[in-house]
Amino acid sequence: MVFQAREIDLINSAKAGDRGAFAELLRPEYRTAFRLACGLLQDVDEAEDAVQEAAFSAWRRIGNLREGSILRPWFLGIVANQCRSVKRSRWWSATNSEQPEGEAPEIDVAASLDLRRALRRIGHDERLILVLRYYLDMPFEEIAATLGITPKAARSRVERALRRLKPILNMQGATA
Amino acid sequence: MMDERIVFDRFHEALEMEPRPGAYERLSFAITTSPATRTGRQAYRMRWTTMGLRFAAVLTAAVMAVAAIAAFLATHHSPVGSVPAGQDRNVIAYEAMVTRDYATMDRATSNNNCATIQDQGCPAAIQRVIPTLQQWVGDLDTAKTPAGLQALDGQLRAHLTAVASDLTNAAAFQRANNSSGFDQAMAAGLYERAWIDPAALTLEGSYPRLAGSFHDEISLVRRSLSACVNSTPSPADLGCSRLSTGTVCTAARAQACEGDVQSAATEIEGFLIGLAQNPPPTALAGKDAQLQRDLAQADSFLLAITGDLMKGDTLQASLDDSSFAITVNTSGGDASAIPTG
Repeated sequence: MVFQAREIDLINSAKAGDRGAFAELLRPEYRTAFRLACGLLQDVDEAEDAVQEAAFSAWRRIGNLREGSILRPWFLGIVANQCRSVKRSRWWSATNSEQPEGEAPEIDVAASLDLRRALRRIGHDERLILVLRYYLDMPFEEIAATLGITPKAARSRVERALRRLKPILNMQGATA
Repeated sequence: MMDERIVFDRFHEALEMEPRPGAYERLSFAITTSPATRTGRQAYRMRWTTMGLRFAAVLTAAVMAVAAIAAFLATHHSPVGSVPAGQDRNVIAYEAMVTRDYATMDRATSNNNCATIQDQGCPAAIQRVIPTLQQWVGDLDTAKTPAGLQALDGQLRAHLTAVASDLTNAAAFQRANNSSGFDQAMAAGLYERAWIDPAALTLEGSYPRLAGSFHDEISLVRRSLSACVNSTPSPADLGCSRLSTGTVCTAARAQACEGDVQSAATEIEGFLIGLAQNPPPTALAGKDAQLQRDLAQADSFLLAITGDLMKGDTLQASLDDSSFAITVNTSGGDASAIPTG
């Protein structure tokens, strides 16, 4: 409750034009936003840029955040939209390294490469819902709030996206 | 059988990544101290040289002429030729054309070897993409623009034309072995692409809604333009505000001016998109159209400033800056004349 009250205060200050308050609002969300962008774009530089661009877009639109709304799902939705634009904005085909820069050694490199490739082969919306669920570990209720859909629809979309991924990934038997 | 826990594990193994040290602090600094324009990585930053500017001058003048024509078309498009948005077959055909031409352009820009002035694949890569841009402009010229989209449609033509010119300039700079000119032209093209994508997605009907309603969008436009002209800007309005004060576009501050131009163009594009996505009540259609026309005109002045700066003509940049300020003021008046509910 204390945190919520503080967030409401910061939102009100940001709406009144306080840039510091807005930056403070983003502090607890930055890591999640970055990981979402990284999961969608698979590029550290582009992920940082996308979160920054989304932050400016959010600042521009902070007046539209409805009274009583919390920032996180709203901001993550903006980040997701920004990543969608970035993905389509690569003027010249960017050659992504198969493994993002700075990544720690993995247990099963081949399987990870397969998954990253598979994610690049499905659509933005399917990639988004899978990253929200399986990388950011969001419950269906939070996915629903981020995407503006019902929890039931969120579950159904996760299942559908996973079904699309399975043949590419050979994830036989995976269930949502 | 693989249970869901394994899916979680595989995603974490494949994607696990943490922000780099200081990433949030950099963002916070950008929010609290700079205009709301993207601070791109070094590779995309413009460098300004007299030689580069001279090379771009002639072609940029041509761009501005075409941009002016496009703006004229946008602002004087006959409503008789328009069709209402919805499931009208003309609307469907229009959206399909935008989707097709976007995809064609996107394919043409894929799998090339043109990132630096040393890359020998540039001429072929550029030759492949320019016809797709020209084709798109041609298709937009002949299509029946749906009602409410004329302003955004007109500005898309102007920006597509600007990209074609940027790439043509880049090819010329490469032939002349002018590295800074090449980088500048490519950076300009990259910026235009960032403008084109949201506009194209809006015109094809797939861009996420920027406002809950027409009145919400009008409120935002009023607030932002008022902040811009009254020098009480939020970070998002800083570019517009600086240009409105008319003190930015001097020779010494050309790069800062271009940054403000891009910031203001991004902001105005957002307004055009928000208005295109939220048709007004019938009684306010005329006022909405006037506001969109004036915003489009402001965007055209921003394109003109960029062209002036590439030519090194800071005097003309100042004149266009003044015109921009007047048009923004007019747009603010348009928005204020629309009741917000």
